[in-house]
Amino acid sequence: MISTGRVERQALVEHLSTCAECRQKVEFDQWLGNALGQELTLPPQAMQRVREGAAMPRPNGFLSFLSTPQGAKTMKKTFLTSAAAAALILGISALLTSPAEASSAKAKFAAMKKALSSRQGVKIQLSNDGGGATKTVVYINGQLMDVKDGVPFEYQDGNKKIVISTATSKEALDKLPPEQRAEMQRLIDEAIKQAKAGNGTATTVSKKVIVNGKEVTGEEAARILKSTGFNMQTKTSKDGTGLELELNFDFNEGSYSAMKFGSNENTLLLTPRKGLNTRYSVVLDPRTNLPSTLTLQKASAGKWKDVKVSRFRFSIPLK
Amino acid sequence: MKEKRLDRESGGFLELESELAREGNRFFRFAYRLCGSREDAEDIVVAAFVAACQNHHRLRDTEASIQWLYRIVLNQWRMHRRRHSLPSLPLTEMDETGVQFSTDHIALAQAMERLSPKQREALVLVKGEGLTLKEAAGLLRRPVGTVASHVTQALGLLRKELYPSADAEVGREVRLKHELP
Repeated sequence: MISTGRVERQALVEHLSTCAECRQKVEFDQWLGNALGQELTLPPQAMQRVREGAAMPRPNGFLSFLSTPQGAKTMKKTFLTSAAAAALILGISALLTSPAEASSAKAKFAAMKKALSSRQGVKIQLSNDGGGATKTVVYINGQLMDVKDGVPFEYQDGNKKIVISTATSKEALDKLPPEQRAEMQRLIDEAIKQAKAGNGTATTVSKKVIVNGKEVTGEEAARILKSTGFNMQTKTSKDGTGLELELNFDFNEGSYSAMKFGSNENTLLLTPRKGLNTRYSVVLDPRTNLPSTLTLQKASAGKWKDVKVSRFRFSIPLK
Repeated sequence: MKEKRLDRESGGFLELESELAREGNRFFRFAYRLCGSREDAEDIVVAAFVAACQNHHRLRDTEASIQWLYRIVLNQWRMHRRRHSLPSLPLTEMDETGVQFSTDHIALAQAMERLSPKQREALVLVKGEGLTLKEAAGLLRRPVGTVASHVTQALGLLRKELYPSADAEVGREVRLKHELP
């Protein structure tokens, strides 16, 4: 965009010295280039995930075969028949959920629960929904904890007790109604007391957090917690109003009136006994059977529409 | 043993793997600028690198491996966008790895979300990754003029979004200048 010719460059410099509009455009351009090009580090576990993924059988082996002349010929011959058969099978599957499928869907559900129970004490983060709020769910001793916003909770991680408070920044605290502020202050004091008494590690989601009884910045807290082997993940909302902790999924099999596979055998469609025209679509990691995406769907005009999507990430590597 | 099998079957697999490890940060940054979320960016990069490993035999010109990887990451982000059509989690002041972002960067990330995917792709490739318009056009499979137009539109929108008063100030300055004798 900027010419490098000497004369032109000089003309440009002269023009910029007099034209505020162009000067601002150039400055903005430079700032943006620096901001977008800022270095970021790929998390170390990512390359391990790549190695694991690359070592798995290629899912598109059949497609590679089709790209060969022999494969193309075979494809021509078989395409119509296969497509018709597949459409028929899919049509029947969509209309009827066979007992065999229901039982294997139940087996898959059980496998998911088992996979989750082997990860007890592991913090699961994070969800992503239409509202853009940050949410956290915690899986403790085989149970997913239903943690309400604003309530500090604690649990044992090996011999270490972890206390997590949903305390907020002072500025945000001051904006709360008096009774809510008093309650929040009580919660913060409790978390700090726990931490100072050496009961474990407490962190808030505000900029200043308490770790091992010391007030530190969020960045330092993340480093300290990481060094203890506990991969703490915290997120703050921009206005510092704190972390919303929410769980809206029931892992009890009896809570569902129907359980079947979705588009493939790694997707479970669960119809809760409670809730009208509602179902959950749970996508499982085929390798680990751990849930990776949970979508709440509602029936609307004869179609299932995604209402809310929660995505899980397990922060501790597989055993 | 698994690595040996892969290497034997497909020559330059280990070479590609070391290149991925070396260039990981570059593609993580690229994916992050496109999607605005670290988790999603990691998933996109992992999926792209796995696809690259599994299809490395298709890479004929090793000199062009970076462009090839850019294209795979780009395709992964497009697929990711289709799968997750709901709005993504906004960038927060402190992300899970404890990186502190300045207010400017948060505002930039939020403004980027308002760009159309085509504008975002063109902008990140040209302004963030330093590709020429021709290179970006080749990657995006769009005419150079279209890519240039997307970059210009994106710059204009970001400038308006991030410095809403700037144009007014400039206008005032220009008016003052013209009023002088």
